[in-house]
Amino acid sequence: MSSNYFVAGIQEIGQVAIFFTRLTGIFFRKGVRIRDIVHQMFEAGVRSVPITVTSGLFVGAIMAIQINEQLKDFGAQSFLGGLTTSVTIRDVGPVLIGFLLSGKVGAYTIAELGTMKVTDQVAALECLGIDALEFIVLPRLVAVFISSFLLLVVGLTLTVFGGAYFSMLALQINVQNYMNNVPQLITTASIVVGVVKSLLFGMLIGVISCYKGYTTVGGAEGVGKSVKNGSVLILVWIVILDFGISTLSRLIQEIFGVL
Amino acid sequence: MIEIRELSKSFGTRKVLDKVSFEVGASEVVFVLGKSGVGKSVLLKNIVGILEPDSGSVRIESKTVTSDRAVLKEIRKTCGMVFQFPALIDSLSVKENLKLGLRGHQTLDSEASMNEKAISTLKLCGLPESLLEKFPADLSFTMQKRVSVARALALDPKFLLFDEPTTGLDPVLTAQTNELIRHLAKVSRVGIIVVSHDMTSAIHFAHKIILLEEGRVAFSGGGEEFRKSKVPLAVSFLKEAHVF
Ligand SMILES: Nc1ncnc2c1ncn2[C@@H]1O[C@H](COP(=O)(O)OP(=O)(O)OP(=O)(O)O)[C@@H](O)[C@H]1O
Ligand SMILES: [Mg+2]
Repeated sequence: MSSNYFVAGIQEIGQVAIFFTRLTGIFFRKGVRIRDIVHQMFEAGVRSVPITVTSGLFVGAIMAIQINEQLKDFGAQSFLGGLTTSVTIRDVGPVLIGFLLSGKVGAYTIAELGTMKVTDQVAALECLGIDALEFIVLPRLVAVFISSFLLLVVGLTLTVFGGAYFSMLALQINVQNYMNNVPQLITTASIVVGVVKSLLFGMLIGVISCYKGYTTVGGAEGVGKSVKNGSVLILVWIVILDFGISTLSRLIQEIFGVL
Repeated sequence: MIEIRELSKSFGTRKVLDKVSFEVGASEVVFVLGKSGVGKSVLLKNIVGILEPDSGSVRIESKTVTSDRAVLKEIRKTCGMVFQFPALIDSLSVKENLKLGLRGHQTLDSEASMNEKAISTLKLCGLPESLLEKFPADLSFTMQKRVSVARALALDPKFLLFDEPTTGLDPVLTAQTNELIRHLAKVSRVGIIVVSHDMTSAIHFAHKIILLEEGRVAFSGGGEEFRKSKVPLAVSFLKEAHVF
């Protein structure tokens, strides 16, 4: 039984890869209309701004509290700003904000495409001679990718302010002091890793949500299932990718002495 | 001509269609009847290649329906489909929905001629021009359904498949839709398959009735024959519909 799940899992990865290849093919052959992307970015992305802002600020604050607990035993609180920012941007921030977006942007896209699929809108397009992948899926993929990436970057930036503001408010730490060693401890490497993760998580949310939406079957119930399975799948892959990138960046650091 | 030969389709272990065969000629109206869930929609989807049969074949004007995208596109240009759901694209206005097929199959080259076509098909379906700028969500279900009929007609297809075109319509609109179907067959020589629960219409103007039961064709023949048929399902359908 469990081996069946395993095989099915591997098969699904293959199918997602084929799906993605087809879409990339269309993208390079035919391009994608900017107007469609903007429309979708507004639908899926702009509505997620408030939630991203709120969670970004709080993730920063939570990290500041936790790290402060550790540092104060060593009397090393002057490093609080630098450490909090570095750890949050590299690791915790992208994962937590990625989780949030999978439930918001991802679920929205799966539900929307899934509904179009089970109400035969996709089939109707094909009958009218229009490639549904090109017409409805590709613009969504690009839009979800761009908006997720931008939202992640905004969220990550806000974690810095969340951390600083909360440290001032609750931990009575001077913002000046908090910010002082941020430039020292937050290396280019942290930023690169943060940005790379944001790019990949954005792509992940886009590809999986489009795939899950597009392959939905079985009416309204099927849409519910796709949303649930798709969101969970995105979460799992965010964690796996996060681990992969962190390990890779460590290796690069050891071998080349950078990052 | 549409030729359906021994078409079979299963989902998992459930055999939905079991060696279904029949033909539809130009100008001919074929009604497909059967209980809910018997596989009528699945049948239509197999004909235009949205679903792939497990075995058997469909030929439309001597082109065999395959999974090849180019062939399918060619076939779908001449064989339109009206889905059971209205299946209008939610994010597009009625006008843009009507023009989808004209764009996709590139039957007309200028925007102006496409707009003209959109308006004329809307009128042919007895719908007001004021709908053009509306969005699907602003329309009732039945109105959406009628727009989807117009969308399929805009391509001037040689064959049309209707999945329950009159379900939910009031008697006047039902008569109007039936009249439209009859007109298309008679005047424009379109070959038509209608999936329907409307026994009265079936008996009155179908050239042929196909009754599906448990995946098989339980009855095939004209309206008059159907009325006299001893096939149990046909008898019970007639009884319930009060058509004697
Ligand atoms: N894509 C699919 N995957 C799995 N099963 C399907 C699929 N499409 C249809 N079915 C199943 O096939 C059977 C026939 O469905 P179909 O929609 O053709 O019925 P129908 O005769 O059109 O019924 P109705 O009168 O309610 O429209 C149903 O049991 C349905 O659940
Ligand atoms: Mg049906």
